[in-house]
Amino acid sequence: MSMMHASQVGAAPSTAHLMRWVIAATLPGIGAMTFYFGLGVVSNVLLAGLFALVAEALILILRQRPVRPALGDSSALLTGVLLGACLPPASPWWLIAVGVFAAIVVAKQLYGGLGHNPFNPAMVGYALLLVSFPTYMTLWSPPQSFSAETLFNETLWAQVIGTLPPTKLDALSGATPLDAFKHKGQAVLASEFWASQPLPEGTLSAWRNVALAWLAGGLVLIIKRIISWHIPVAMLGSMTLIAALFYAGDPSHFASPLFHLLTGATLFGAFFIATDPVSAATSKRAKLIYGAGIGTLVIIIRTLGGYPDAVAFAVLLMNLCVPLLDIYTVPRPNGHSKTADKSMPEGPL
Amino acid sequence: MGETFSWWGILSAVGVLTGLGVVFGALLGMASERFKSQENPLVEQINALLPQTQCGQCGYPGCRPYAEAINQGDALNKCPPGGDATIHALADLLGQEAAPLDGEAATEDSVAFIREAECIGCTKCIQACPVDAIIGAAKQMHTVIEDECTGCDLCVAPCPVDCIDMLPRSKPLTQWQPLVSATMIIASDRSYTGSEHARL
Amino acid sequence: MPAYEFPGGIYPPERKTHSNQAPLQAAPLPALVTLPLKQHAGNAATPCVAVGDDVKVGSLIAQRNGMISAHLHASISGTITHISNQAITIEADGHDSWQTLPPLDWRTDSPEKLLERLDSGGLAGLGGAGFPTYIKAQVAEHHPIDTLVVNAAECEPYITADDLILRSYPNDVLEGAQLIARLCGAQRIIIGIEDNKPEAISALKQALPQIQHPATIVLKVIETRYPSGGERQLIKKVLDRDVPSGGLPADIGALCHNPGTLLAALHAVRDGKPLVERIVTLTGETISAPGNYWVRLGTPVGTLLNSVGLMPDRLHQVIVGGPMMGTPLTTLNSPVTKTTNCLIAASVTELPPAPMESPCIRCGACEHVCPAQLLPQQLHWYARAESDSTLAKLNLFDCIECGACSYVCPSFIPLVEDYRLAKQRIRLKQIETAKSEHAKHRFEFRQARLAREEAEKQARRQARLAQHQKPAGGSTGNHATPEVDLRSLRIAQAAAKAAVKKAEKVLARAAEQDPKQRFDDLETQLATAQENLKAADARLAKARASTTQKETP
Repeated sequence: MSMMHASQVGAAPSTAHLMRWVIAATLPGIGAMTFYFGLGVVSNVLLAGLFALVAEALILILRQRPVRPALGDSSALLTGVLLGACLPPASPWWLIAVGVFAAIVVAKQLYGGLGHNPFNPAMVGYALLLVSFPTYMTLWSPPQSFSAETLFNETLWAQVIGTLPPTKLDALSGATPLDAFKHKGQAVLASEFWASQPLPEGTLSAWRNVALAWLAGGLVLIIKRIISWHIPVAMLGSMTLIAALFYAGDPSHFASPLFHLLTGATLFGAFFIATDPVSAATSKRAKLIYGAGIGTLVIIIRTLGGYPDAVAFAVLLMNLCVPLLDIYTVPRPNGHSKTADKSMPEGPL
Repeated sequence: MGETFSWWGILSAVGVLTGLGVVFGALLGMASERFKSQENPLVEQINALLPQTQCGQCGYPGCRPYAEAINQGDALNKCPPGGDATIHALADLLGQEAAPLDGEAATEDSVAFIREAECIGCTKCIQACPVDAIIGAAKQMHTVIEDECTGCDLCVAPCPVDCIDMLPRSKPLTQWQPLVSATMIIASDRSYTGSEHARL
Repeated sequence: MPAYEFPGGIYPPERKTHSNQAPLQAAPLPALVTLPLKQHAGNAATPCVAVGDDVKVGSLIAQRNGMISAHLHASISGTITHISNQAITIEADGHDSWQTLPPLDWRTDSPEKLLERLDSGGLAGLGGAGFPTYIKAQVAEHHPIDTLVVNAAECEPYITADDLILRSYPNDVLEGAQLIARLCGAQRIIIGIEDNKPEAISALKQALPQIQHPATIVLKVIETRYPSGGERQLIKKVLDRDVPSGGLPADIGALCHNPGTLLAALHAVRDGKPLVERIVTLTGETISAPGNYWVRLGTPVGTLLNSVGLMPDRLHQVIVGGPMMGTPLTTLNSPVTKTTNCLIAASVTELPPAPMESPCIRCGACEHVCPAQLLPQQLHWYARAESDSTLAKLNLFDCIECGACSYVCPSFIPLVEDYRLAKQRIRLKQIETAKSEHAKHRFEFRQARLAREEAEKQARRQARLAQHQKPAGGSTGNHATPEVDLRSLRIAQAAAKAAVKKAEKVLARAAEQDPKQRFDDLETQLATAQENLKAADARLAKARASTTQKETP
């Protein structure tokens, strides 16, 4: 019975502090996205966070559980913020509501609430939206440099009404770099594709800067020891390796490792999604395998699968493997001989 | 449809299935002969879960006969000394529904005590004791070996002078266990009462 | 010598300067002491005095009961006022007159004499577990011991008792270590001490050169990291040996002692003083004169704390032991015992109560700090689900309850409390199972005995009948197939014989492995098999009698 607690003597954060630190660390990424895509990003995040808190409170009341401590730990808010940050700017309010409902009610609370969900709630919400509403989920406007016009465009109004914005639909359906590369066609060589200026001016650099902003937030989390380095390093490492293999095999058709690292949700996923402790593996070895699995799956789905990005699916698939990873990476306790220890669990416990 | 219909197809399907049936039937038959177990291990498993007080409150002369009866399909809920814990363990083992205890639950672990001044030395309790926990001889005072007594109270009824009491058994301090709240179904069902450390 | 590493560990705030600034003092004599009969591991001692007896300091008041137990001595001179199942109360007469034993010399006196003194001095480990010292000193009979490890790590925050002992009595502690080393045959003594006790280290360094015989003493300064004072962790750190799971340090040739125990052992031998007082750290923000004090055993905690300036209005809780492994007191009437090394009178800001427990988020922090390399979080799930077989697979019983996991848990889950509960539950279950197994064997034996008696009765009757009817001739012939009967009975008899042999073998093998143990259950099983054999013999005899009776009509 320890009378001292690390978080009470300032040696480590408590669960609620952990969640708040992660939320704080999303700010650079969200800021960068706002810079390029307008206030629709901020409204997404705020709306999703609000919906998440409301959904959590309602389901806790239905489940007859104390509401205040569960809301106080900020875990629902974090899920909302993470989900909001991966939606296209100024998504319709109902889209956000559906995603948050899937994340909080289905993926989290129906499994028993915080600590009991096998799948990452934000990614369950995102994957559901991506499969159910593909049109809305690909409405990424081309990034623009910061100005009053880009900040307040009429898409914000569309978010409130809940329809597609009536005008500028063409302008809105600008592809992300991953989208564009995915649909370049088999006959087109990579060098030709890039030479043809497939994306509006500055798109690539905008996405790269957003990714670097997420990286900055993630590094803060690692430095503050909120997350351990194992999963991001394993995930980014395996992505680089697999992408390099593809690229080395056929540079004319496959994208470079750097392209994979700096586009899409790679860095956001590596530091903010895959590291969710509840749905990730726990022991160091298991974390490395888990991260490497996500990285491998991301590249495989991106290059060979039907979706341009795959962080959500890769994370969910590896979530499935976590119980197995945890069972097979049990460390050898002290005082047990290295060879043939019968008391060690073999196979499912 | 008519073109693809053929007797050969039907016959071959029937033939293959029959063949498979014969082969696997033979395999199963051989296995059941070859690996036949000498005695029913299920009875042993059931017996291991029973409290072995040998009290006979289930209506059988001892725990093993009741274990055999359960194996034959008797109800699980006839063992008062075992209580709910035993019923649940048996239900788990046999994949049956746990039923509430049939009869009054044993309130606590008890032990027989012979008021020795009143004992007339009739040996009736000695004959009744299923675990030979009473010593004494005819016309001599009897006494209970406390450590061997299972608290089955089978000795109480035969005593002609009613000199046997069932007393609560004293537990050593080392077996102390703190009180815990009722079992929760899932971990998140735990009530949020906070720590219950004693305060001064 | 290089330092080795044990896994995990934490760096809690030390807070040792509260109590290690003041020199060692003696606490005022209490007016009344309550001496619990069980202050040590093993059986409680049996009182050997009566209410109203006058005793002196050091008078024997309760004798050890069985091997693993310890004598108990009066810690003040006065009158016995109360004896209960749990404790003996003595009221002081204010004289403080002593009754000591004749002094011995640990260098020259025989080991038997010294062991007897450790026993009669009522010595038990003063570090926390309270294992009787004389038993521990005899361990060399079964295991060769090469190294005595002096556990001066004192890794828990707040506690400075060993620190002050080493500063005040470095020579005595080293002599005590030599005494124990001589008894257990260790050629080497290693003192493991954390680097946060510079004064104690320099005191030891000064004393070391004079006391290097018969065993050589090495001082080993280790990094301050909780729980380096755990027996297994310290042995790993200074010797790089792993104590096997479920085993003892003696299994790998090491013995671990606390400096306080060594000091008490030397006092018992050299000065003939039984264990009646010990050094206790009195600390915490609500004490005005914190420090280390010589305290008579049995002194009520409340009296003791008041004598060092307790501020009751600021007091939040009193903790016995350190903040990591200690327990909060529910009443200040509890006495100081042989294992009380520290009392923390904490204010609410100093050791605040843990906030409400929140769900486990599987962060794995507990796993990284576990010095036993267990999976605290998995243990937590399964302990709450009462899944005992899985807990055993996850080596719950290797948990040393150091509290590192509870310390780092961001959700404030009282993990160690869960484990203690689960361990106790499993222990009780094992006791229950053993009991019912025992009853089963006794029942089977009784059944066999009754069957044998019945069979013998029948056989005798048949024999009588045969004798009576021999002249009359002509049997009633109610045995339809005597040959078949005989054959099956012979088979039964052979099976019974085999069963007896098997039971004998099992018993012999068990007795060989552990000659000191008693095997009641195995003996009962053997007796049951013998009864069955006798019954088979009797049945066979009866059947033979009836066949001969038929064949000779």
